Amino acid sequence: MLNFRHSVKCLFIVITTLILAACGSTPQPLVEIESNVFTKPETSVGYVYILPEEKATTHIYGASCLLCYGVASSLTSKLDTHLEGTIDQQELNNISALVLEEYSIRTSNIKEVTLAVPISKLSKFKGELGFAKKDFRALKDSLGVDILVVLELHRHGAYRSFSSYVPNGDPQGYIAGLLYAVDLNSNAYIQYLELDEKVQPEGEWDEPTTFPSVTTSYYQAVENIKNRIRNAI
Amino acid sequence: MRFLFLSVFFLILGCNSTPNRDDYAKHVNTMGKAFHGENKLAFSFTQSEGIDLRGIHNRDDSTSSTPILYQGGAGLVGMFAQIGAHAAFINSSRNAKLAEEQERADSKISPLINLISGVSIFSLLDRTDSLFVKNNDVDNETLRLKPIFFSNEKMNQVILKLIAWLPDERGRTKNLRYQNMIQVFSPILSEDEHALFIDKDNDDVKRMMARQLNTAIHILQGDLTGRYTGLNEPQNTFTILRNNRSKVVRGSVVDNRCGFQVVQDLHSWYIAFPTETPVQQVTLSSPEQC
Repeated sequence: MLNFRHSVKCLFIVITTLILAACGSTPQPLVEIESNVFTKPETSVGYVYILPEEKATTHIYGASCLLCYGVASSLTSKLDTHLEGTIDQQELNNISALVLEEYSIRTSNIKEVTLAVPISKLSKFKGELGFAKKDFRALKDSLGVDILVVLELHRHGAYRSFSSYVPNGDPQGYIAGLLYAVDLNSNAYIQYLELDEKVQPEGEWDEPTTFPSVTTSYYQAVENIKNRIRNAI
Repeated sequence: MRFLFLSVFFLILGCNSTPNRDDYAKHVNTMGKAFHGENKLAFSFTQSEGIDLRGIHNRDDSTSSTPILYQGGAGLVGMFAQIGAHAAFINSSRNAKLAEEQERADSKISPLINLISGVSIFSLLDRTDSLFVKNNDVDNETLRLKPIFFSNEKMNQVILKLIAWLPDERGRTKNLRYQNMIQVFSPILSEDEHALFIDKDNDDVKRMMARQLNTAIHILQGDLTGRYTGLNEPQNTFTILRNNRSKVVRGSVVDNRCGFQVVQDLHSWYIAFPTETPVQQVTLSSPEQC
């Protein structure tokens, strides 16, 4: 009986350790673009742009309990309504157009492609840092390109940080996503840039129904992201 | 449950508003599109004769998210007291952070602040001087003006924020009849211009500030007399250099004047920034020319 309990305890400790170890994996650091990759004119490049699934809204962080989250949601509900109603995907499309434009300066052999399956459905790739976590190599033949450039925009709208029930900052203009390029022969990143832009509104933010300060800070976040992309490509 | 939810909601709402900033003004206009003929306008500065010049500081007052464990055994009232104390603590940290940032920014531009100390705000006025009334003549129809100048750490740019408001018919400031803000950006000065700018002789600084102040008053007159209503220009994103970084203004162009493009933004504020006009022409020309 004692041995059984001991075994269960050990198993529990091992599982917990494995879960924590998996959660604590080193995040992929920045990979600066390798310019010599684009020197060969026959290297073809595909570009795919993935829109956020959600409409523009307020993204809440730090409201760590269920009731805290309920309070936080009610505090930001008017702002959510405004963002959903007034901010469309036009600015995100402009960011996408900029990526294509900047890459077009590096290579004329670039085209927009459509993925038959979402990236999340691709098989896993076990590689070190500097390699994509999904196996993109299978796309080389189906898309007919050597390099795939991906702009994934995950979240946009506003960001508000809470400490349990209490907001500890104003809602900030917010865009988050990833820009990366993968070599479809090796699955290595040619570029990897995390986009996470939060802009503090100037002055008073709580001005329903138009929330001009938060809306302006959203457009500022868009512009900052554009500048980062210009500098990175 | 609903009671608890609403109570927490109002408590947090009351305890944790954005810290007060005197360089901010919500647009108010209960008087209609054009409520003054040009000849009826009367202005008065709210401050003493000196020029209010401050450093541009970081506006992010967010504090770090400190984990807190509320004591559950204290009952409902105790719970609210704990949340209230937590909210008050965070609010005070946010105010302290802002004040500290402002102090630090001011100390970095102290040479410029010293340069203009003793300069009268009235000495910057050109022909708009006649619109200003003396303190004794200020009545409930006099527009109050509060100009605040800001400069960056490098002291190669000056930004004016002019806040204007009109009290109600009884002179009370609780329900304003009009309130707006006009911002005027100077160009970024080259190194040579900057050397002249912070020279012992404060003529260039005064000239730049005068140009900004008079442009702001001209724009304010335009707003008060309905010059900018009904233009319906499309909204666009404009980028201005501020503190050597791109600042976004989202709005519509309403005017082009003396090397400045004037945009009405999402707040209904007016933002004037230099067009492609050469810096030399914009900064150092006499204000009387425009």
